[in-house]
Amino acid sequence: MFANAIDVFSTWFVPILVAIILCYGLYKKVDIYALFIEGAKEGFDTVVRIIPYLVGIFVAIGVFRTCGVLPYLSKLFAPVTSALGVTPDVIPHIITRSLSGSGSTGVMSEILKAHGPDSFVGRVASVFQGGTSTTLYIVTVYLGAVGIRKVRHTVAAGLITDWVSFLVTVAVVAMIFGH
Amino acid sequence: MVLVWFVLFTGGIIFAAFTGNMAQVNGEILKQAASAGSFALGLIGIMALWLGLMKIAEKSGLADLLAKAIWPITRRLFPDIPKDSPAQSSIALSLAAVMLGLLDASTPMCIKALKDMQEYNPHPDTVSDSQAVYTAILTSNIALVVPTVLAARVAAKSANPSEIIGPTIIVTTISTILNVALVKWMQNWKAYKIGQ
Repeated sequence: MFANAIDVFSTWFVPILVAIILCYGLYKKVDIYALFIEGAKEGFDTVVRIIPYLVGIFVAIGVFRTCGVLPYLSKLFAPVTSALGVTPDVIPHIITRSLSGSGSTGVMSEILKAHGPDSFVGRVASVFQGGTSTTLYIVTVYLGAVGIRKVRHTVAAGLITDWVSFLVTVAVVAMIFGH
Repeated sequence: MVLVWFVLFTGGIIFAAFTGNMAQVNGEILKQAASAGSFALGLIGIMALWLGLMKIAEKSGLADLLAKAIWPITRRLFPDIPKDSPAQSSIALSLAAVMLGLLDASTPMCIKALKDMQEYNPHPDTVSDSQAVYTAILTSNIALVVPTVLAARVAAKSANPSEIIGPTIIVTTISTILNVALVKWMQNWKAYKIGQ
């Protein structure tokens, strides 16, 4: 029932949002079509500007994911994960979550498939996926797009947050659903 | 950033050399470079669409309404961005898109907001304190609904796919507060001060 409501929401939301933007523009008597074209023109330039950053981050993440270090790290962290009451395959999930959105969605889906979406580790993976976002991708691509190359403390703070958020997720899920 | 990039890249290659995964790594390098290009290509239309709609929302004053609503929060988070700046509207619009889980819309809108904030950045090649706080909000996520997670849970036949929405909101709130606090604290560290 609730899942159904969410489904309806996500189907209707964008079309309605577009309609609201257009109607409000018409009501305020601005030239909506000319403004749309003017804004849309920036789309191409923005994408061209981020291509070098996209290539750099995609290739680096690809190398890291295929080099075989992730299963190795899972094994290394196994005592820690079992102390937390989760399985070792959460480690690749935490690491890829900071790197790429589609990559981490794939890892999460594997966890849901292997342990069931309603298991403790399945719930942890689901909540963690939405609880934080792709730190490295956002910092490189978004800041790169506006010409910022010196990112200062953003990467360090973001990565620390990602790892601490995992611990928070385990605590919150244990509190709400039990172990 | 240079360090992270270097470790992912060179660390990966060295690890592959010792574990016999070089064939996969070799294939992946070219595959990912190509897929970054096709990803960018697909992004052009989506960027154009949302930047066009954003322009209408901006000029009609719709974005201003949103910006005014969150002004009590934004004035504290981004003290160097004036109240009547176009950056306020694009910040408000982009954060709304992220909160609603509009993945396609959030990339163009967030980039636009960062670009508008560049006006108040005296060192355009270095992230300003306000931009760092804004980035921290994004990297720790503020989505109230995460469509990809719900879809994956439905696909995995969960008895109650949406039961994770409440806990997700709790975790993402904590992670955002933590990330913003960390960024605000670290911005004055000697190593991270602007001009270092």
